[in-house]
Amino acid sequence: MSEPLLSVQGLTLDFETRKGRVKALEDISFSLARGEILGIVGESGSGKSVLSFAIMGLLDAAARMRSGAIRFEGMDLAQKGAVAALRGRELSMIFQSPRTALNPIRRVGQQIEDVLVRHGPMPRAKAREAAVAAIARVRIPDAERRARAFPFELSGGMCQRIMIAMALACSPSLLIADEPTTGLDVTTQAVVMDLIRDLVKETRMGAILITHDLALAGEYCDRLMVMHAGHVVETAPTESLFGALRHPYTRRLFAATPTAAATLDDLAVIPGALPDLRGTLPFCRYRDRCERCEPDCDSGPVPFDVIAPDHAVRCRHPA
Amino acid sequence: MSVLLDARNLSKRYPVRHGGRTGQLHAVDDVDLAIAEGECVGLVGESGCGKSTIARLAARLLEPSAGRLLFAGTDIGAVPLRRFTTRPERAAIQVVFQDPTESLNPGFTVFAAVADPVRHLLGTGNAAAVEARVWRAIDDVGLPRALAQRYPHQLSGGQKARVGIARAIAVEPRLLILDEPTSALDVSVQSVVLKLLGELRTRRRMSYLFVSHDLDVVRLICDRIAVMYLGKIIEIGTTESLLRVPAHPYTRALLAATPDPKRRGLQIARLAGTATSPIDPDPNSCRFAGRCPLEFSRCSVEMPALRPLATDQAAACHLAGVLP
Repeated sequence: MSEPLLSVQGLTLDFETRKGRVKALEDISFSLARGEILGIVGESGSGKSVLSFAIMGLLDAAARMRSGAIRFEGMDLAQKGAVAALRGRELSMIFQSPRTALNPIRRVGQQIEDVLVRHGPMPRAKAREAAVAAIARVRIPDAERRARAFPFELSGGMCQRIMIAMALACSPSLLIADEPTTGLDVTTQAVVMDLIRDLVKETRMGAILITHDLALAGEYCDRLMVMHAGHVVETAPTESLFGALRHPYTRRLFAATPTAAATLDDLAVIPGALPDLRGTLPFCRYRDRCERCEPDCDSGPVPFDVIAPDHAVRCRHPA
Repeated sequence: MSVLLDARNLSKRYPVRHGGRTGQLHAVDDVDLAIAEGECVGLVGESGCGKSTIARLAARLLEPSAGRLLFAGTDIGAVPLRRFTTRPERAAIQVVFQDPTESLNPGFTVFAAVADPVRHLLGTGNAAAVEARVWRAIDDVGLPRALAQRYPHQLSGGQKARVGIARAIAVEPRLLILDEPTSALDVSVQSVVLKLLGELRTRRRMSYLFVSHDLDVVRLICDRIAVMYLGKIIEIGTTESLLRVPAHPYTRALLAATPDPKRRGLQIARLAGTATSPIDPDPNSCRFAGRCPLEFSRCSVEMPALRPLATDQAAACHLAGVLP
């Protein structure tokens, strides 16, 4: 196999806060190929956004990378200045809530031009044309006119498409979409997700979809990675994962999505809450919420076992 | 079962100015909707379809432009907003709002937030009686009593959602209006809240008007579902029937848009574009015309009426009941 587009190896990351060290990520490893969509799934607080910020080099000053490596096309992104040179051009991100991410008093076309001028780099006159083309590429009809609109003149789904247009303006190789459809209608969500999927296949970029909705990730991603409290608990190609959900947390998380339940009684609840990531943590961070917990669960670091081709689980007693 | 809330020909129009002339924005247009005692009715549709306006009309937070709104036989739509606050129905109809973080007063402790409506709406001056009600509500939503003196910023999202519900049920309403109660929540918190709502409904014998854009959520909790499009109810029926044989093309499109891992890799036809303008819509055209995949000549000259079908539902489409 050729070199992956993105590879993260053994990433461990803490935050030094006044109230102690927050162990946000521990031993995260994965890789992403061109043309592939990877879904990172978990509850809020599981570390999925921190992971994407780490890749994008957008971490808070309190963050400390203890070990591991993040490589983009073989380049070490942890090196000073490496990410800054790539961000916006090669690495791009779509944020949650498009309305707050867009500048409310600047026309959307100009905002895309700004990105092109800064990261392209491209002269302003040329950028104008390219911005309209970028808007047309995300299937917005009448792109010329829409480019002159302010964010408040556009619907939520339209704003999100503008965000995607902006993220894709410089033809990045890697796109990270952090909950790109939260707050959108299901019909708009479907259109936006179809668009992301089709653009990934067309342009052969790699994409990471961050979401708490396992059903959504299951429909659109090629591979899934389930996170809980800073650990990757299960990862597999989507078909293989849904063929057999092995980690107790993955099973619960899916059973808690309305899609999976026939009636309200079937709908599962995940007991307890995420552990406090400060102080000493058990080896298995899910143990206090787990129904399959055994005395040996805390006997040592939980191995990340490969149980089927490309399907790995961090659990001593998988289902 | 007797009818608790009965909306008849209910409309809400807003005067707007566009292109130099004044027009009417039809937020809710001639809607009939009845909710029986103990029943849960779901109201679904895209943003801007008027579902939240119906919720606000039913809670009497808005003045209807036309139509009647009967609550247990009394026309509460005819009571002016200012006078409604002192009516007994004010306590009998309560609302749980969308975002628990935005809808709680940051300066109120949990206890104070729940006690506030009890004091104002029930007019009980007796501190012990107020306290008893507040504790009962807090216990009923499964909030530990130890959290009662906390402020919203000291609570998790799920706990805040519980406070929002406790606040609404403390005055023992007969109708609870839920305006997108889970759409701002994580999947894990959403499942807890949905189960809690299901449980409370049986225990406290309330009726629900459950507003959501997500059919998958509504289906789990509602007896009947009404689907709205541009101010109109375009399909209504029992949950079972509506989901098994959706008759309106819009309902079908909504169902097809719900994410499902089983549909991975399939290219599904999506609704193109956005809804037409709600300002002075053509009274002789189907509201869904222009976006409907099955549109034919009759659709733009004759608005289809909501008509009952052989199944437990009614749909406003010329092709309803004929479609495979």
